[in-house]
Amino acid sequence: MEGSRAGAGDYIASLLNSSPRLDFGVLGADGGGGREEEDCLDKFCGDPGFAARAARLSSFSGQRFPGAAGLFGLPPPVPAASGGGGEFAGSREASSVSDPATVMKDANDKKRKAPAAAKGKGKESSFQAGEQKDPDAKRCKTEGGEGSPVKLKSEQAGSDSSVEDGGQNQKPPGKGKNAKPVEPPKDYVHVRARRGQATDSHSLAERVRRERISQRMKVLQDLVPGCNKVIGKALMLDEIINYVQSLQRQVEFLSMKLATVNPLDFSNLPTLLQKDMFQACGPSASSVFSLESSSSGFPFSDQGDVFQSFVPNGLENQCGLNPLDLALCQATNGQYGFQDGTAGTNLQQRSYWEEDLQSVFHIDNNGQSQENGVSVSSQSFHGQLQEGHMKMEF
Amino acid sequence: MAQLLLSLREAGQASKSMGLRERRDAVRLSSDVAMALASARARPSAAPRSTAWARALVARHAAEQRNEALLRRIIGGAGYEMAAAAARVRKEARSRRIVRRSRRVCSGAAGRKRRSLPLAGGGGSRCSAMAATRRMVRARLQVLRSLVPGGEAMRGLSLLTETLDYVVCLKTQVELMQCLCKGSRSQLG
Repeated sequence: MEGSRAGAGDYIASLLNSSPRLDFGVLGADGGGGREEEDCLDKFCGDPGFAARAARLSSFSGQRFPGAAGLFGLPPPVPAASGGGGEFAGSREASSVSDPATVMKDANDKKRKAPAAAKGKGKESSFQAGEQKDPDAKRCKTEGGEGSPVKLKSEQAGSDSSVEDGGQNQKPPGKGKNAKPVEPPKDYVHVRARRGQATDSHSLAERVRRERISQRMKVLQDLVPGCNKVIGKALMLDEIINYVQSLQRQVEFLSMKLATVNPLDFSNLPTLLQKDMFQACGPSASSVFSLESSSSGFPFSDQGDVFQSFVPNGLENQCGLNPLDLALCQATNGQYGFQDGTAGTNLQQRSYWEEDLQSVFHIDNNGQSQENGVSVSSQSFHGQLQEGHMKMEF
Repeated sequence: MAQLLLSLREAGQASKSMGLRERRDAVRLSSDVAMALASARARPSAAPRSTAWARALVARHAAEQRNEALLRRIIGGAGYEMAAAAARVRKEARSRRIVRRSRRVCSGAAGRKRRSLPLAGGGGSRCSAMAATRRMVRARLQVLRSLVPGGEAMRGLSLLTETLDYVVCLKTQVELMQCLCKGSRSQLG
């Protein structure tokens, strides 16, 4: 609470003086800074309780500024303050949404992930900055008195730069530590106080949240087919629910079909996808299939480990398939080769799972030189599946 | 990702002696795990861990005892242990959440009565319409929560995010399986 007031007061003081920021920070929230804050706040805001309320609501450091800005925008009692306020209001136009409240409410990874999924750069930067802000706020709370002057300095630095640059500078700062004095958190974006709307912290935070929700709904609308005609939360949610249910049912149905249609064809599975991808190797694929089925002979008995029997078949397949079709066989042999390379069938599978896709390609490279076929196949598959925002997911 | 799914499918069909239903379940399980792994892999930098639905999905599969052998083979012993732990955590968390929510509902019902009375006196029809829509939205959010795995924990915005991810993954799952079906069918006939 006091920290917030200190920050606001220091911010005001910095606007006025613009040079002894460091001094203010050093003096800290306790002594002269404290006195100054209260004077400033009383003069400008006339509502010292506001800061307290704002602090209680959400991450206090972030929240205070839009509130203070709103307060600045309305009453300019001191000409210097009005100058500062005017500058502040002017800079606010450059920025976009503020998310200090949501930082506290939804400060998890999902915030960062969703912007990475679909939104523009501004939102993403604001989200990222919001993420950084929260650890800062938490750290400030834990550190206490010693941290507060440093934090105030950083707040001022952040506020100044955010005043100047708005939403642009939010990406480059990256991980700001609390100890550094000129660390640029820049994690809050300023909300333009709209006319006729309340500018207190509650409604601002709610508005931010509502905008986020509407963003997500828009993305969902694009994702779910047939949602364009419907407008409104409830109906759209209906559509989404139906769609999710139908997708789940489809997955069940398809899995059952796969289970029946495909009793145990390990060999054809790798070639299947590549066949779909290349689409030119249809006839060659069928010939490959026939060869594989004949050579492998399906010795998969009910007992015994399937993989162990699979491996020697893989070896046979290698010799048989190589002369047929270079691209296809290279891909399939890549898979077989990988499985042959490591010892032990179960270990193979597990190590396969635990590694990344890149390492999979690595092993393929090491085994035989088919990384071209494998990587091309996967890339083309990804290209097929990708839509605009689905790309981010994968 | 396609390769993940494939290998999972192979692993899933290891025990050929299963009946049809079990096989389908094994197939579904393997594909689900594949999706979860894929999503976990797809976001190395954005999030420190996989999405909630992925974790919940794997945990849900791990909770059933009969899947144990299969899962163990697929994910590996270490991963399976993590999944089992996640399942246990989820059970506790879920019971805790239910208790908390019931408490909140009780207090909220009491408070809402007090709050709605002055509102109804002042707002009139508009407020009641808004309240009706809010109730509908809330009901649908509940349904969504039951649908999306791991969705009981979240509210509002995070729920929508999870739904988004889940929808994307479901879509890819369906497409992949369709391709596989087509391919295998062309092979046989």
